Amino acid sequence: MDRLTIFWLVHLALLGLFGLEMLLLLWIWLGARVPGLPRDASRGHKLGVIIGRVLRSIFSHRLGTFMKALVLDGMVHRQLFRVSKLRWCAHTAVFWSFLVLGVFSTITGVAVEFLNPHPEHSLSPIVFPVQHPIVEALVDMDHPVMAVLNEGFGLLLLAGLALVFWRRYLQRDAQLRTQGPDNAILVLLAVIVVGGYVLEALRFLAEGVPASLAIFGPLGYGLALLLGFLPLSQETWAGIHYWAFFAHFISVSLLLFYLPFSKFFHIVSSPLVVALNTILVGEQGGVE
Amino acid sequence: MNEERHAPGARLDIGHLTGHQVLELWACTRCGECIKWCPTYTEAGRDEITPLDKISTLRSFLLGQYTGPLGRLFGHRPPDDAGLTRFATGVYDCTLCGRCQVVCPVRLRTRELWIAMREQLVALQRHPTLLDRLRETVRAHHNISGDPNETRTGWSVNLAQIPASLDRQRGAEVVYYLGCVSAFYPMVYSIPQAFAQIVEQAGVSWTTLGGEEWCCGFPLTIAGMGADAEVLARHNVAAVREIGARTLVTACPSCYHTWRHEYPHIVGDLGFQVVHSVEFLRDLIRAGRIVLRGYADPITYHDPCDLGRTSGIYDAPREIIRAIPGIQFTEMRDHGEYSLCCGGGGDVEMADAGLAQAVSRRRILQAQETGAKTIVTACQQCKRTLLGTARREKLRIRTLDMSELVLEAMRA
Repeated sequence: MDRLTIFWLVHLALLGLFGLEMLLLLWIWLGARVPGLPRDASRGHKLGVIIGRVLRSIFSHRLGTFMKALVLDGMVHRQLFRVSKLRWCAHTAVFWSFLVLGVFSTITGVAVEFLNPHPEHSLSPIVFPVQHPIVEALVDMDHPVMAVLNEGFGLLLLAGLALVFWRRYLQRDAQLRTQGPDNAILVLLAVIVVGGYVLEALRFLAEGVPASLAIFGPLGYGLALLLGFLPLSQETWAGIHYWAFFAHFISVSLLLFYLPFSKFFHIVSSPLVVALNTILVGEQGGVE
Repeated sequence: MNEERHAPGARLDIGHLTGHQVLELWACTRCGECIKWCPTYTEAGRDEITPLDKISTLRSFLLGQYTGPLGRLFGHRPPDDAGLTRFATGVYDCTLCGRCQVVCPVRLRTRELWIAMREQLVALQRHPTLLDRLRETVRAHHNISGDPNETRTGWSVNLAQIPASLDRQRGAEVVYYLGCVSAFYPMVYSIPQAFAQIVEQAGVSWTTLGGEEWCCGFPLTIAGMGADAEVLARHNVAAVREIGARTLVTACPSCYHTWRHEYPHIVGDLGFQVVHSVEFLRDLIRAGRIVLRGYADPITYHDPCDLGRTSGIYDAPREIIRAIPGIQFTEMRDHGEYSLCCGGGGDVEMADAGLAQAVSRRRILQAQETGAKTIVTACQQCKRTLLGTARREKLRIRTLDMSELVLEAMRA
């Protein structure tokens, strides 16, 4: 079984596990009270009422308020900007680069497996080949545009993490409380982003990617040049790359697996909560 | 914190939280902004008091309790005795001032969360024992002091002339709801005394509920005993309706919040409007029914948490102050939304009196920094707390409620 087949099988299984974790969380959340319903109302009933209320709140005359809060407070974090430019830079760099890289990965995965103009490179039994420059770019890891975008956002993530590490471990900001779960999530993110560059460098060496293309991923290329001084054959690099790929994949999967049980889940919940709370406060005339 | 009863094998009832609140537990980013602004953490320096600690502890308890080995794999544990004791200490060493809510980048509605946590702890019998006594006192006497409730108008005895309409005058347009602190703590009798003289001079048709005024229920609600407050709400609303008043005025921000924002959830439409005394006095000034002449000393204003952050009233008291000719008014470093608590909120006094006093001391020092000789507030509990601390610590500053300031300004 080849590397990508194993990847997809395990990846889909882990996505299923992630889905189960989310269902477990939902089951816990629905044990909570829903105002206006009896405390012993079924979880299904509660879910229906909550969805209805949220949708009614969002798709009402308050939609503008909701969207403004979602973007300005939930995603641009203007309050944090007012409080500390440094913290805003760190948070924004990590949040946006993580978000964009995640979206890129998803789109790339869909393009490679379902829209690939070269169906023989796809593992999916059903492919709808699309001959379009954008799809061509998406399926080609060394395409200059994709390489620059991935590299750029990766560097942004790295810079953001560097700031976070500096604040938490070197500057030791008095307002931060560092516990095991805080360390775990930061270490995991660092391993993923650094591992990504190492993997890229190993791929350049394993596949013998020409410098004219590799240069669009400057950090990976630089790393490849350094590693290239080691007296190893291209075949050996291919073997190392094979295992490095799984190491990187496992680290990403661990993050996904840990997400619902960690503070990192706030990347999903806090934009929603900040927008909903803005509406609720507005409804109650500035009163809690 | 006072001695607590221990219920071994305790399991938290998630039903004390709303679904929205549970989602909020998962939305905390642990950024720590709340820590910088938490008045009790600033004084006590214990991590269990910090908002982020309370949130992560409860989330961890819930995950450990419901997810079994999967949750424990990530370090989450179901509540144990030591963990619950620590959690309860943090939850009750909080003045419920709500500053954490103002500075939270995710706008978590923390004050409601803390109250829901207290409800969980009450259900587990993990609350300070003094709160049980408070509940029994309110049940038996309908006030927080345990004095006979018929003596609620005792403050009026020293008035030069006791208003004829003082006690349950049917048909009065305004009911003045005193609140337990003004009614039973002589230290702040001067607040209703001042209000009575102002409204008499302004020719307002007013009365009080006399012995039919019961505690509004706020102290029980914030203790996590909200279910006990319902009977009080129904009685109080019925008593006002019997008078037939169109307006209820109270000088207590906690009573105000309860009447204005909690009672309608219990009894529906009240049938009369609820205003705080600062709004009422401002309107009298605007209408020219009272005339302010001046106040000599430099003053500063302390925003009560339940009037400002909880109820959104910041402008009315400042409008009154600025209406006083020649007033020397300076804001404190922390004011408005960011106002520091006086230390008297959240029933902390019952859980840890020393902590409440330390917060209060810091607030008085902030007031003194402005050069003010008088700190004005709009809350009987704030006045009682600040005045008590100033006396104990021999800090030279005068403490006045807005009603007292207005009366003095009228007489200048």
